[in-house]
Amino acid sequence: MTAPAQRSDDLVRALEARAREIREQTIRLGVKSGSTHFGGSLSMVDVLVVLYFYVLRIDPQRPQWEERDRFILSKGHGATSYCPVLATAGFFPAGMMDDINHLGSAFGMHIDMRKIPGVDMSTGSLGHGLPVAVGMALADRVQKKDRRVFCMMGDAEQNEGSIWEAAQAAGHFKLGRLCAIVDRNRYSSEGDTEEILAIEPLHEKYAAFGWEVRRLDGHSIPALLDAFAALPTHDRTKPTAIIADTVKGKGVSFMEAGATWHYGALSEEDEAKAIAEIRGGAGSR
Amino acid sequence: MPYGTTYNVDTLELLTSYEAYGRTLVELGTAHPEVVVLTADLSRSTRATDFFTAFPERAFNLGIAEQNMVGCAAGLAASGLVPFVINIATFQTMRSFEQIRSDFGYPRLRGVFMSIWSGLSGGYVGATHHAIEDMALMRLIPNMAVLAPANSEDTAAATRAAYDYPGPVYIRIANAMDPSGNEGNPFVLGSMAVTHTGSDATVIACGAQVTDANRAARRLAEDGITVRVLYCHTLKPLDTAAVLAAARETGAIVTVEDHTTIGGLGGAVAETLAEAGAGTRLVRLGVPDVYAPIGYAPELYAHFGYDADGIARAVRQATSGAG
Repeated sequence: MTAPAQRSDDLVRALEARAREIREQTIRLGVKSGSTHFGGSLSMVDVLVVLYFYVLRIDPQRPQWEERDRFILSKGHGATSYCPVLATAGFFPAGMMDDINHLGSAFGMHIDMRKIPGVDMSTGSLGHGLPVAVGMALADRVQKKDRRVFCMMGDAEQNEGSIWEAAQAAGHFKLGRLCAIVDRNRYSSEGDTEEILAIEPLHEKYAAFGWEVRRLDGHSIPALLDAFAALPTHDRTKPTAIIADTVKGKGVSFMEAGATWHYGALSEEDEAKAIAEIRGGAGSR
Repeated sequence: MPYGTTYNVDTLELLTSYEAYGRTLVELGTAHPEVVVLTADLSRSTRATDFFTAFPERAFNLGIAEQNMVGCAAGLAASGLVPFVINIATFQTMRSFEQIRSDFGYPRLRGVFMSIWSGLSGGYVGATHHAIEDMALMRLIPNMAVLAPANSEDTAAATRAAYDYPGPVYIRIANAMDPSGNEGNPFVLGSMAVTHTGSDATVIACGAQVTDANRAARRLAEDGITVRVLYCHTLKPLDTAAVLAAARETGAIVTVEDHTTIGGLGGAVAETLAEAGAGTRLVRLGVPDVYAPIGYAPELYAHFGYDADGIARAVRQATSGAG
């Protein structure tokens, strides 16, 4: 929807600042939760920010707006950064998350489309998002809409067979308005994806299933803006897979340590340290 | 030769239940542009072809990939469409169980899971294709309605009722169904129909077994044993009032289902009776926690004692105090 020429350094800087805000909120919400999936929540922040604050056609005042683009967080355990993104975008007041995990809260470890405004599909169990996204893209065709469908998956989630059933269908049905993103942060709960059950070569696999594949630095706002700006137009028939190389725990040096911070609890001291680093823009890169 | 052609009943209605819902899908598709149909390479054998011909832009053959099919159905449903997902009962409920549960049950999305080859009705297809666990599995899912119509007319009625239901619906139909079984009772989702009256015992049956239950009741009447037959086409939500009335008003209850005796109709009735403190004698007929041998469906029903002869035998034993 946006040509590269429309991008300015100001936009990039604004989105980078927004990403820092979201990372800080992620840490705070994670602390409020007691313990959470810090690593995979932090790794996908930049992609979420570019989508929600630039790319997606959405209206937070009308979360059920029929013409909106759809976004499915297939890695539902990334809720700790996703929910602050929705709140910041204006779908609900941030204070709504104050009772997270407590009886009756709309917010828990995973996301519920019936409770959280802006959530297009309830997720949590891995391998469910891409099939649903394929169905939404088919719905666009039935209903003659020009919505786009985005699906954010984890990298270890690529082990699920249902993902490849859906990848097969997306290629077969030529769902050019579908975009899958793999948050390639390299680690699952227990270690390096390539040691546990190798998913590579991911680019070649999606290409073989009939997808257009782009691999990029998932923390580079300009690279993400370019990739989403180049998304297929109406006449394009290939679904797009964006493999976003990311760092698990991105933005907090001690969390950028492989699988260590897949899930955990932060001490008060470490919370302060994490937030100071995020504000200072420290960490890798 | 189609499955079930040896089904030896007086007025056999072979496979017309499939044709009934096939026609009903076209009727619903004509009235409601949001109806879409999905199959896993089974449009011909499930008689969904009429819909595929009438509405090709709303019909999807998603290949032999059931998890993706149900996930896609959820995506279509979340976009405001009403998917009818058609499959063989055993694959429908087990291959994609978690998608049905988490993508439909949890968000309470509308969708209809239309399943053929219920129970042992596929006969010699063998245990991989026998659906003896499907009703128990679907009963477990909150928000799900579970339907087992007895004949083609009610298959059409159940399909229409499923469209109107505000959540996901599971419908199982058998390969061969007799046109009798409902005796003019209207199909009302959630309520049982009395298809034979009597007071010595009650037989509660679902699906194609209602025909055999009625047949058994007529035979028993000749011997002076009167039987109430309750046609339970809706296992969930269950008409518990009808079950408890039967417990109060008749001497014993026999449940009949083409399904394992665990967790389906017999299980639902047992739960209802036990919670109400009803001390009524209960006999559960069905598949007794084993995999069925190879055989034609009627042979299998006789083998496990839930054909008309077996039902009559069970009622005699339950009402005589023997066995």
